[in-house]
Amino acid sequence: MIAKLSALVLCLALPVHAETLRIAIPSDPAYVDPAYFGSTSEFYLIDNLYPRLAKYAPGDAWKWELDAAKSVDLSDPQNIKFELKPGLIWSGGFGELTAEDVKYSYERHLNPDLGSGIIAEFKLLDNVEVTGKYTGIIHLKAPSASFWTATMVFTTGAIISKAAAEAAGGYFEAVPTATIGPYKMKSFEPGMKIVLDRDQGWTGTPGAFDEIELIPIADDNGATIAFEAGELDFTTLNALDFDMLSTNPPKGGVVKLAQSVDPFWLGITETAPALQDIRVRQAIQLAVDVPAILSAKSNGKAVQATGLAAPGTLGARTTPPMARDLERAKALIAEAGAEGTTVRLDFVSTASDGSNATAQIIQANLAEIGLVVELNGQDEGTFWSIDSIRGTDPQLHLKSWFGNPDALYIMQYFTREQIKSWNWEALQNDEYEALVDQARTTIDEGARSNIYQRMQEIMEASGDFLFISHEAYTVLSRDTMEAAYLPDGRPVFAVFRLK
Amino acid sequence: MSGTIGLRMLLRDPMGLFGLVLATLLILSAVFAPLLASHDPAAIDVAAKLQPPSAAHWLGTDEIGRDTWSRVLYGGRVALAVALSATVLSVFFGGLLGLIAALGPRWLDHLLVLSFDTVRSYPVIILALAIGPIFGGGIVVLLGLLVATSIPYYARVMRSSVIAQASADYVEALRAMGMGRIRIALRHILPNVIGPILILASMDIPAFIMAEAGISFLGVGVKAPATSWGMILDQGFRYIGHTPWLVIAGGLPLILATLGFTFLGEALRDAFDPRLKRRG
Repeated sequence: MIAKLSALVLCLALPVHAETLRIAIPSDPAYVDPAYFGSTSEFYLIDNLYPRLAKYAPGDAWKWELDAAKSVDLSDPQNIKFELKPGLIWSGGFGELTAEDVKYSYERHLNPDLGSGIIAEFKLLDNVEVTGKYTGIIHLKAPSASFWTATMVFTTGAIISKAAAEAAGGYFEAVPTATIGPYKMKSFEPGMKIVLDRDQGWTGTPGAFDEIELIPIADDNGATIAFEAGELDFTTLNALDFDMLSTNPPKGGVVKLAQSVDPFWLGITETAPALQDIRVRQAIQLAVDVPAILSAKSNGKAVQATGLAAPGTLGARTTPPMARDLERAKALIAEAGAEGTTVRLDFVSTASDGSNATAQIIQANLAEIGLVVELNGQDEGTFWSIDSIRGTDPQLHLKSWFGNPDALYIMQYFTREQIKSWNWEALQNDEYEALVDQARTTIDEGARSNIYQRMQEIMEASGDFLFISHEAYTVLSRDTMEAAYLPDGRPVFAVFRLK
Repeated sequence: MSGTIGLRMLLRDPMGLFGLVLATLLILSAVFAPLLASHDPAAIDVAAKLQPPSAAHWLGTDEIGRDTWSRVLYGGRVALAVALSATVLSVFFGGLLGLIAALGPRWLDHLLVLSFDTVRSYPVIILALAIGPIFGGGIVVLLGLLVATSIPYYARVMRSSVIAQASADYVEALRAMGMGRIRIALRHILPNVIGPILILASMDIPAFIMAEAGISFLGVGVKAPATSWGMILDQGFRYIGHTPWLVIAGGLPLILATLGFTFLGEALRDAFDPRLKRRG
């Protein structure tokens, strides 16, 4: 309700600036620290404010390009040599970017006291050797291809200023004190907006805008109204909005459909008392009408998934998606003697992402096989952080994760050591864990693809996962500018240009 | 004033009559919802989602193809059940606590009044947003919340009325005759104060209907597969750009119910206890 009202208030209250780019974000950031990021807003800010050695380039295909690095030598997949561009200056007076910053940024994730949320990504990292002011070698414990594609060129590879981080107490909350790029953080008014302005110390191509305002608007209706009122220049909406907006676009609006690599699935926790019998979990997989969910959630814009690897990316399965088989599901429930069992379905109850519809379809589908589903919709913060869900008693849960064109980024989290953290499904499979290690150190793409496919087969066969789709989004931008996107529609607003 | 005269006054009041008709229609539609509904309100047909009103679906369909007309009828059942239950329970427990506060020892009175004021200081919506997710929402939690936040109101009214009556001459006379406090309270004071409280309660029914819809709109009230006008409004809000009939379908019965019960309550008040009208 507050979000709905605030969107309308914002429409009336925001001043118009000719050279201000205004972008809708779903929520305020909590941590703009690569060690703790999680929300969409945090992804946006980290991607656009911190340098990486290299990063995925805007465009229609997933290709990486050099960023802070002048050169990178990947010829030895266990020892990655890099040389930084000289003259990249941290905002806030924290000096020049050096190899020491790179060493600090990556090795800090290995420090258990930091509690980094992306420790799994850095599992192969041994150390970063500084060989000069701008040069260094990233030493891995074993040769790896995925370390580069799944970690270094993604958001997780962000480099922070050692001096700034230490001055801030070892980590950044919502306001980073040192960034590198065309823009730096100017101000943060929680619930109202984040303002970025030009970084005068930036020597690269200057930003096209005097300021960028990131405005938290949680629901799509609010964002669309704000766009129509001329108070927003860019917003990402649910795919449901695409048909309506593309046939009747707002004045000055460019509408685009983006197919993301963000997987959306139903997690089925195998340690939950009601779900310990694999027949019950398999019955759930067979009973849910995924095409109906896709129709309700995305107007059919997203396709049914066969795994966590998105279509067209490494390891995407080519097998047909799981088909609904109600009779088999009923038989499994009868065999397990589970008729009348009650299970809770946790999900993020966002106003406009179709999750409510998805949950209600699952509830109705499972009622057909005799399971009673209690819906437990929550706001995003509660869903991802509440202890009772994270550590102790998850049952069924609808989840959407930020994806990566290298699916190992996500798949490496479904191990025993992640059960109290990210492996809510409690998948416990020796072969799977061995494959995770194998995938990390396999260089050959074909072999790696086979490993990924086998991992997804194990996930599905465990009964712990019902793969639904990879999210599709509607992207709405102003026609007076050239927006830049990653292939999944994620905005790279630091390089947005005016036409 | 006798009941017959009061009823005549009610029927002569055009707004009261309008309210009575509306309230009666809503109650009948809720009671006979299974007969009036054209579809199972929980039946999903995604292929027919977000359909406009038609002969097959009088009020169209929602985001997963459920028949909105049927959901509105069943939503009325929930609204009325919650509102009537909340009213009855609030009056009962509020009245009881008010009576205890008025007739009990001074320290208990202070304690209860402090409790009433503490609970009343929290807006019901804020409490719902805080408590709903903890207890998982649902009709029982919603009802508990509405009752808990309304009890202090009725308790306060009951306490004040009983204290006022306690010093009346007829009570003094009864005491002088040796009648016990509890007996005086239950047999003589209560019948004198309960009428106005019941009229106040009737005027609270629309407030409970609105509260149920509002809390369900925010997602912490009634849970699927049950339905509520607030849930329909919430769905409608999401699709208001291209399916305005969902908002209309959820909003119109809410408006009619609120108007109907408000007019009826006011007419009842005017007919049976004109003093309350004067107090405004």
